[in-house]
Amino acid sequence: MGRSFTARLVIPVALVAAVVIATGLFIDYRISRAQIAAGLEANARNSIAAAVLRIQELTRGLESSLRFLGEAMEEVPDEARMDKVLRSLLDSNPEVFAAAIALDPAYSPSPSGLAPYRYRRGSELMSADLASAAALYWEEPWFASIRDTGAPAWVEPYFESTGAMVELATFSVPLHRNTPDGGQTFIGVATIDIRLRDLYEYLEDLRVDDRGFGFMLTSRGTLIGAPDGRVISAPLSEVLHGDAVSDWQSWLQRTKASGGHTTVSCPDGNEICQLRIANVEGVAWSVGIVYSEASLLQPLHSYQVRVLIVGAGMLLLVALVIGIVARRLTAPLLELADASRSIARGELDVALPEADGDDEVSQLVTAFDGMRQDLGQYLRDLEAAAVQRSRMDGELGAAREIQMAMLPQGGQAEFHHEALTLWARVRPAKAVGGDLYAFQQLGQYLLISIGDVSDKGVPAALFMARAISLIQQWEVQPAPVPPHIALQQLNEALTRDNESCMFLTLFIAVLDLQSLELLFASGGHTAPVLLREGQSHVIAQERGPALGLQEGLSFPANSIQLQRDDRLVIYTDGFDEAQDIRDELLGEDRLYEILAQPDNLPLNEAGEAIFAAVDTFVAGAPQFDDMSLMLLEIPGERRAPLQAERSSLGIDDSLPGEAARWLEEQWQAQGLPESKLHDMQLVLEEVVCNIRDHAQTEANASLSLGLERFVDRVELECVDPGHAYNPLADAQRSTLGQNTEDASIGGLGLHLITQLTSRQSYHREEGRNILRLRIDLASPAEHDTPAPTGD
Amino acid sequence: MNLDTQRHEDPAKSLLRVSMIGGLNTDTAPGFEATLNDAIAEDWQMVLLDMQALDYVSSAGLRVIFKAAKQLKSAGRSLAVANRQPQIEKVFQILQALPDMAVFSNDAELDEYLDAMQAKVRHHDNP
Repeated sequence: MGRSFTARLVIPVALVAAVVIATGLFIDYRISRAQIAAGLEANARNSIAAAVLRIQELTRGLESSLRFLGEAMEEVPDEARMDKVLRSLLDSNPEVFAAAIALDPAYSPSPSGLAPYRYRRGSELMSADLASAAALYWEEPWFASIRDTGAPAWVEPYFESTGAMVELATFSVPLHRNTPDGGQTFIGVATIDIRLRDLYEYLEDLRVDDRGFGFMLTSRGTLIGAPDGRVISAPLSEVLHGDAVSDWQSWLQRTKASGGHTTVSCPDGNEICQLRIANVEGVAWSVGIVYSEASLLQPLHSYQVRVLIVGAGMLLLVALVIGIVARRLTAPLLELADASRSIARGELDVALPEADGDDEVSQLVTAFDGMRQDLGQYLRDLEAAAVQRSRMDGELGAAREIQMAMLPQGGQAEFHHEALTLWARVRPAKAVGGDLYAFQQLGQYLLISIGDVSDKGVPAALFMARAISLIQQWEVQPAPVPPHIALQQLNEALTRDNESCMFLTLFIAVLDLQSLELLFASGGHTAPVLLREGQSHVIAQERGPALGLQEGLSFPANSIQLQRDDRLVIYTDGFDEAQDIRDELLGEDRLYEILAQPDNLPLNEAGEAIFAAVDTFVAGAPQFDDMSLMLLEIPGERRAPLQAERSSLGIDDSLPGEAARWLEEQWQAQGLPESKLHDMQLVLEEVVCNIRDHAQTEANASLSLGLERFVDRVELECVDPGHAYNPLADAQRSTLGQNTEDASIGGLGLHLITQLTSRQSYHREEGRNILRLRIDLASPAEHDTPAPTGD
Repeated sequence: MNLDTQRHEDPAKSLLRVSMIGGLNTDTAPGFEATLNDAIAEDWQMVLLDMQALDYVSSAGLRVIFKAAKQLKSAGRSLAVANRQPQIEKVFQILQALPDMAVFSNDAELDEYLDAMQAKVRHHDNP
């Protein structure tokens, strides 16, 4: 169940119920126990009182039966009369076992005395004479003590051995005869015998259940009772065991006179028992009850256990009912959870649980259903929006292609001329943008422009299209129109019908490829940066306004004399206004630093490096504005190869050998250091093997190899007409440094190429793979060629 | 570029020394592979490539050496190289060639190694 709703409901309720039941049981047990104990005590007290009462009643009854005998007689009775009296006494008192009249020897007819004794045997009455016994009966306690006290009394039980042969309790009454002087004289004793067993049975109130027993205790310490249902009569010390003997005796000695109740060891010496004793007045006996409370509480224990079982059952039932109810309540929630997972998978038409009534779950289901419908509507809207968006994206993609097609070489251009190299690239912030560049050779002149339309996106792109078509018109004039005039004309044309007030900043220049003089004009455009001898200089310019806002404006003319080895960087404000994620601008100072960095790189790599440096600064923040960059380079000694050799080799099995021979010849011819030849040979072998194995060229195809020596480096160029294959990216590259078992066979070549060369570049141009590899030479010799000045 | 090889057999040490003269490149690798295959088939405990007179090795050459080393190792035998010239050592280093392969700078190192191996084998046979 985990921590489900059901569990959270059932466990606390069950716990509380269990605690309540247990507490109730405990309290009930304590109260019941106290009540039972009190009941037992009262019961014992009452039983004893009743028993005492019965003994007294019996005594009185027997006394009254004997009263006529006890009244002083006129004469000493004869034997026949005594027999009659005894028989009627036994007939009228069934509880009496035997009766006797014993005459004092002084009044008996014979010196041995006369003591007729009648007792029961079954239903008959038997006769005996106590005088015939060996012992003198007038010396027996039942006779002597009565004669001495002159009062009726119960005497200590004894074993009657004359006729009945049973243990008896005897009630004796003195007999008197009137004397002539009006006094009375003792003539004998009348006795009634009750069998102890009968007496005990007669005290039916002393019956306790089988865990305790009632008893009579004689003054001589004989106990008559039924500890295990069998009536016994034995000395107390025989009935008791263990600690009970000393317990009982010490207590009895202390309290014999008054009786009372105490806690002692049970007769068997094992448990603790309650003992209650009362003295019977007029008889030197006590009546007592002893019982074990623990044993008497046994039924209570079993009752409690039964209650406990029933309670546990009830508890289970409660938990079960709560569980079922909770499950029934939470089932819709589980179904809802399933439904929400289905909805998350996009199955919006999943069935929801039934929601009858107006409880919380129903409200939830209703709300959920509403959410589902809203979600469905939202998804449909989203889908529609997405369709529209993708159509828009498609259109924008097409628009981008169209826009890029307006730019020379599709937005990324290279132009090579013996007097100049040009590299340009546009990177719009959105699918389409408002940046533009253009260049066109016109005889000995190169016309250059780079511009930036206000805003970005589609409106800017449309305005840019207008601008570029006007610029192209300027480029195709028979003779170059000077830049400041061209700006004036462009401004007129762009201002016409420009209701949206878009505007354009434009840098426009004409370079004389012979004299290297650059005439330029700026319509609100940032000044270019000149890189000369490792330093960057911002070119001083007089700037005119941006184009497209006002007619009839004129623009100042500027010029600068370029030199060999100069580089010129023209850019749009997407560069200096590039922002990182904390909205910090790159700024012109940082940009000039970046521009000065890649001075020794080939022009195209320098351009890539500038973009890369800005991207590093921006660090993932979205591009904010279109970025355009144009680099011009006037080749000089520092940048141009000192020597260049090129050769074509057939692509066949002999290629590696041929290439190695060619390289060795060129190396020696160019006086290159021998130490680097080995490296270049390794690299060349890898390259030509790759071409031989992967280029899939047609038969008779040839590989063009070029070796260019610069002041500080040697560059190897390999051009093959094969399928597009970039060995730097596509070749297998094994994991190095593995032990023999794990080492892969092959995939080593690319490691050699990247380790032995300081720069590798690959591009594909006009169906040919062009791979350039560079090995740096040790510290370039100091070339001190003065740059030719154009002045 | 050519490659010549010379074999020196030393049955006492179960050692085959293959001296390489010239350059091991794409063109010479197939022939050298055949030479090595013969050596592998002959059940030498060790095949030693003596590179004293080897001037050039390319990745195609190392490929053959790797392959032979793997075959010998799986048969519980070994391939070792000795006397590499600096430019050869450079290629081995760049390609981090087989760190577990025995490399000897001179014959003394080789003999020491072989004695150690012998001792190991004897110890193994009579523990």
